[in-house]
Amino acid sequence: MLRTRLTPAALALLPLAFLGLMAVGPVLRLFAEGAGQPSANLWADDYLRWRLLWSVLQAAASCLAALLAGLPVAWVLARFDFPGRALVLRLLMLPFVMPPLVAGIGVLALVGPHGLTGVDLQDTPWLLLYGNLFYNLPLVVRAALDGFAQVPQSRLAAARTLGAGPWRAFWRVELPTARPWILPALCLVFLYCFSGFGIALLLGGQRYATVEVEIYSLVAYELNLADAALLAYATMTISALTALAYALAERRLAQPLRFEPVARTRAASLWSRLAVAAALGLLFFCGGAPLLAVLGRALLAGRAGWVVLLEPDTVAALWNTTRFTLMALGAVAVLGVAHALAARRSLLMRALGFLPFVVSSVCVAFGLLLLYPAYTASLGLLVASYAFLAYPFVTKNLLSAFDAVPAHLAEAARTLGASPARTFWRVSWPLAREGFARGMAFAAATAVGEFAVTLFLSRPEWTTLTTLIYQHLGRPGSANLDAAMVLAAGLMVLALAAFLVIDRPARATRGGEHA
Amino acid sequence: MLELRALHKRMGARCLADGLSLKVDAGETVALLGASGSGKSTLLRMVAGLEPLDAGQVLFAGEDVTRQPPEKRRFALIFQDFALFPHLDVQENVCFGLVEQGWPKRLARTEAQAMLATVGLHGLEHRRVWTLSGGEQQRVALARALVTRPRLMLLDEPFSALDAELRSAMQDEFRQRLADAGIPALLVTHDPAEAARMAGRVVRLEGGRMRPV
Ligand SMILES: Nc1ncnc2c1ncn2[C@@H]1O[C@H](COP(=O)(O)OP(=O)(O)OP(=O)(O)O)[C@@H](O)[C@H]1O
Ligand SMILES: [Mg+2]
Repeated sequence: MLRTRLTPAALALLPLAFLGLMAVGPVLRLFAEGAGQPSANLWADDYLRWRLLWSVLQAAASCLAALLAGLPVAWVLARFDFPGRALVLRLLMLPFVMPPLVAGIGVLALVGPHGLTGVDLQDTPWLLLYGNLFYNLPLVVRAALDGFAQVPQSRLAAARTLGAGPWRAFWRVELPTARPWILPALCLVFLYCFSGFGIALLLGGQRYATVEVEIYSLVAYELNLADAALLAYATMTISALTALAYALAERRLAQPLRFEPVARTRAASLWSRLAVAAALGLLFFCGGAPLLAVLGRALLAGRAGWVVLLEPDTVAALWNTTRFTLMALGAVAVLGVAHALAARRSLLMRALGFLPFVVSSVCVAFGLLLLYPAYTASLGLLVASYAFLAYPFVTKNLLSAFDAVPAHLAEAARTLGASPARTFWRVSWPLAREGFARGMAFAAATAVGEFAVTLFLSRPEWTTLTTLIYQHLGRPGSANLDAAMVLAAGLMVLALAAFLVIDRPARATRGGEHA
Repeated sequence: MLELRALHKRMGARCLADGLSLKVDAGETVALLGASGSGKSTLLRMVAGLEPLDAGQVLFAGEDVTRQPPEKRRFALIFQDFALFPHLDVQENVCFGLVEQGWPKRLARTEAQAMLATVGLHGLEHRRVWTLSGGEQQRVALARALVTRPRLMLLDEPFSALDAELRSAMQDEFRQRLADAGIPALLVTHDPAEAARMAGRVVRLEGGRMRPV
């Protein structure tokens, strides 16, 4: 192994300082504040215990549902050819980049009070589970699809000739091969569902909101920092364990070997067509329908609704969203690259890359207010928070891209006369650049859709599209609801544009299908 | 030319080199046989400077290169799977080392084209490397190594990914090119016939030492 010992440590300084200032400091500050107050006993308090238990339950249930629905869908996409398959793969991750506000509004427009379907799931747990599936089904499908693509034709053929029927071959060959891809995805799904804020705030309602929302009300409305800190301890422990499990599972991903992947067959038989139709139907139900509902509602709003787009408030909000996003992207690009480089051989740094997912963003936002009172109204702090929330996407995608660069390519470059720095510039970076772009695309979508931290740190003149929508939703009257729908549709388009501009279709750099 | 003096190397619990010594003379090709896992690939990587030694010296033309990084040694290593750069086309792959030597782009391209023509790849300059057949990929790897005028060629089972017919053709071709260029070479293989065909001398790595065959 070629290694330069000093550089990773030096590279780690910048990201570590950032994470310390943005996460560790604020959270400790909040805990210190809470320690001065008398607190409830978590195990004796039925209400708080239920919140915590429900948060774990709903995250676990979402994992299970995403797995049960995602596996067959991914298998169908991996094994069958059908018209429009490429388009489906291209659109697959669309829900994942949608702002929580858009997703929440979409689900409500579909199955909320006066929803388009006529079914009202308000005040049931199904609303939150629907929202979770909207985000996380694509994640599991994508991961399982990558996993199924790793099954060599020969291995499947061997299983079949050894007497395994298709079903047994799936259980004993395909699923075990794909498992290293699926497990990390499930960890992520758990993490997102457990610690997500926006979706839980909008869809959980009174009864089924998660701990994160509870922390938010404790901090923002009741100023009960002691109980908030108590809940935060518990959630951060659970999130940290999940993130560690993710880092471990992800590291086991094997280096791709040369092999002939299983060929896809044309969906010609009746049952295969039914399977394709069912898979697409499921994807549409979970991911497409809520988005179409937003669009539908926005269109129904008519001219009176659409004039909101021309209001000075909207234009200002659009400008704010755009410039905050661009500034955050600049910051997170530098931080993410430094972190990923430092983390290539360090499990600890890998796990630390998930810190922004692990610490409760509500705690961070409030801790920032307590810790840096002089800067609460500074743009720098707001942009830094955006960068903080987008951080894991860049590090994670870039790290997996670095991991996927075969070590011997860098070694070949060295024997051809390239120094370590030149090797990085001419071989590792070009091969990992796509992963970087993908991470930046997710980061952009996160920044465009952010509203948890913005709620805390924003000043009136910094209103972004998300906070504007939230304001409209909070005001009475159907005109405000229409305006919210139209703005949500606009936000959806913006998030999509940000994603598409950055994550352009991959120039094929490898032999195999690169869906 | 190349002299390995009393190399020691442990990998985990295994001792891969235990006072290993070997000489390769100018223009000579030495074939290295050995059981799977005996440490042949590791030895080549140590010679190339990609793997640190526990003890011992690597000398080339009388100069101690043990502490030199791989990019300073000008030893070319050809990998079992060729290690072509997937983000570069055929010609850019071949130019890679020349660019590192500071050649102007245009001259490097001309040189690469000439080299590609010698190995019979004229017309494939702008193909993506993964669209090439196994034999073509191997010729690109050879051209990429030869064009930098390496002082030593290290070959790690370069023919094992090829079918039998192509393999013997490529063996002859490689031997011819190495002889033409007058470059000493260390060839790892597990095929005694290949060793006999390609090399003037055959040695076997066993228990961390060289045994004559
Ligand atoms: N990075 C590493 N860490 C630990 N052990 C290693 C590492 N690289 C190689 N080894 C071990 O060192 C031994 C020698 O490996 P090497 O690849 O040099 O063998 P080889 O002689 O080339 O075998 P083959 O003929 O199968 O290619 C093997 O037992 C291998 O498992
Ligand atoms: Mg070997």
